[in-house]
Amino acid sequence: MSTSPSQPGIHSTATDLELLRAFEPVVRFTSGEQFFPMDVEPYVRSCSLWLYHPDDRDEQLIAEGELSTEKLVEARTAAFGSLFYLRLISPLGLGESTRALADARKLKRGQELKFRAGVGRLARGGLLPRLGDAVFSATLLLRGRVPGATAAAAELKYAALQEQDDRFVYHGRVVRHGGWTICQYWFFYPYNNWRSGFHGVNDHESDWEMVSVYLYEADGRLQPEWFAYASHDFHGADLRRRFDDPDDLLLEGGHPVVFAGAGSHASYFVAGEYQAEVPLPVPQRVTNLLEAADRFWRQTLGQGSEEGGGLKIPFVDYARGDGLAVGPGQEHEWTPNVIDESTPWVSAYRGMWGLYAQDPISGENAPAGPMYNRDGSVRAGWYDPLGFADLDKVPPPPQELPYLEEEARRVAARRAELAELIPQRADELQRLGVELLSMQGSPHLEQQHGRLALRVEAAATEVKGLRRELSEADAISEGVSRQIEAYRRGHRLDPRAHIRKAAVPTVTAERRFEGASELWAAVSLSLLLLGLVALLVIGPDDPLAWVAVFVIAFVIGESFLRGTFVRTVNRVAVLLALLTAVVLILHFWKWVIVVGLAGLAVFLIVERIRELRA
Amino acid sequence: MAVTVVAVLAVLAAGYLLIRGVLLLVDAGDDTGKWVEGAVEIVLGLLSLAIAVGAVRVRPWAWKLFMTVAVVGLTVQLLRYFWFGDPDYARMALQTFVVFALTPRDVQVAFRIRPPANVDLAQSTRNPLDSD
Repeated sequence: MSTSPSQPGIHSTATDLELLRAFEPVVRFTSGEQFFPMDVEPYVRSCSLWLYHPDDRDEQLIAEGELSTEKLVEARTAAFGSLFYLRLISPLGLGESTRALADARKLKRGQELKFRAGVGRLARGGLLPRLGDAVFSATLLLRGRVPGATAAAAELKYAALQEQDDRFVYHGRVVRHGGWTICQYWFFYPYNNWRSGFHGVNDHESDWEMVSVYLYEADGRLQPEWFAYASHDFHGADLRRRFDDPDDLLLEGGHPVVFAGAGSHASYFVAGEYQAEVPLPVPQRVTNLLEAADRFWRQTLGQGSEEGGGLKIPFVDYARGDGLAVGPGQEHEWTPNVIDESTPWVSAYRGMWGLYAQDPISGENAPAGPMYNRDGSVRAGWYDPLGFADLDKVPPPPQELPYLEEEARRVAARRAELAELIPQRADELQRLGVELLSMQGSPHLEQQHGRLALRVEAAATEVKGLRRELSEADAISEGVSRQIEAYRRGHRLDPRAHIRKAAVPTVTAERRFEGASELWAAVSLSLLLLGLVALLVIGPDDPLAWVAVFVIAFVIGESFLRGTFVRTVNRVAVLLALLTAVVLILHFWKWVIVVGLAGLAVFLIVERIRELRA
Repeated sequence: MAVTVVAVLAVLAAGYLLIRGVLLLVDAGDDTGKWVEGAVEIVLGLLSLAIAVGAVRVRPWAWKLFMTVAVVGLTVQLLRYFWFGDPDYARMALQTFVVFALTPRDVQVAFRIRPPANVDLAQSTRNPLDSD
């Protein structure tokens, strides 16, 4: 997919700013995106600074309009359990909320690029995930959450900030570790409106995303080798792609192209819609119970797919790339802002960059800055940018061949050593074995026999271990030699060999009755609940019987629309059969035992007679 | 073997339903309810015979039809057990067997309902040649 087959490069004496500019990404957003990367300075100026006390009290330290990055980093002390946080949107009254929502609607109407959800996320899952989704929505009422009108107010505030300063800014950092030069591009968004704007998992004030480019030096030039994008649910090696990746990486004039998730701003290599599955936040005991039930269902009854389950709610991260594009050669260019540990707001402010919503699972709490986690500890991506993308074990390309040759020499030396050692040890073992045998039949040598037997056992274990080591060294030697040969011929390892799990855009399965199934997905759960209410209100003689029939009919009817009739019928049948099996065992336990034992007896007789005849 | 079991269960179900249907019709007299019930049993019996033929020929529709009939049958039996106190235990047992006979993966693979599972080479064995 790469548009630039030859590697671009830059002179190794380039300044940090020149390096950042040479490889800065092109970020393509989804149509309808509301928030874009901006400078932190105007954001901080439009925020207030707060302190959350351990006794559940919020205290405003600096009011909106009085804060600056200089004031933000002033030394402050606080008790254990306290949290500093910024607040972009002050608490809104009912009137302000209504006004904000109305004004935001007006603002959206005036925007050219609008968002269309397309195939709804609920239509992508079955009834159970939809039920989970309803529970998840309900948990938002109990957990802390960013208030509903906050997103609207943030949109308005961001629009006003853009009028004053319409630059698109990244905060770039260059760091050198283990022979690699790493360009980190930190993107600061004033708000994450994935939930309120795009039916996603969460909303929070402020959002930090990061893209890294890993360069190595060859012939006095720095050349890009790896590109790592931060995206949901992926870690380590799965985050990076090599410059010559044939499937995922898109380069435009040497600049990596990033597809940003709508509202979530997560970074993807390929344009598309990504299904993010969020486990239902339930207590550990319930989770253990569900897992045990899932194992019984999957392994004992052979139901479901092999991937394993758990109750997960489908959310869609729309990274379509059909909206605004920012980067070299695009309609909007970047303004870089170089940062490092000496940048005061980076290192001296450990608090959150937006509202602390007191959400225990943190989805609605604002993130901390580029250098810190929410608890104030340093982010791994900051202090260990190589380990972040699992590159700490990967040498820069010019080092690969010397390392391989060194390894080949080491393995060859060990093989020679083993080739000499094994016959010696094997010979000793055989001598000991003979001695041990010669003690047989001499009762007065019992103790010596016992001691020698232990020595023989230890020697046998050692010889076995040495032989195994030699066989492994042979295999390693063969692999290293093959790799050296490939390098000398100019062949390299598969650029995707390191990937265990890649983010793949969802392919919407072809469903029957497209429109109907969309509508059905949206209203089905409510219809089910209304149907149950109706049954309880009408009050037939046996309401529970009707509820059972209604639910089964509902589930099977749903499976028709989703094209999963066979799977659903099988699952319903197994559930019913388990229930009837329990009923039958309870009623006829004596007969179950009698038939079981008699059957076993007949089976054994047949088997034994067959064995005798054979 | 598993497919044969499915076919035998279908034949048993057919025999049970046909005999019961005929007995109901013989005994019906002027009772319209019994006539209807007998007719339904005979139709279901004929359906089960068709399923048996389909099972012998390992047709996917036979599996789907048999499972669907079992779902309806088990639902009816559970309703009769829990709410009407009038379960037909023989039919309940037969349909429970049917579901458990149709569910194993090899049966579903045979009927082309599911694809075969991937081979698991990592599975441990008791062969000393496979151990460390």
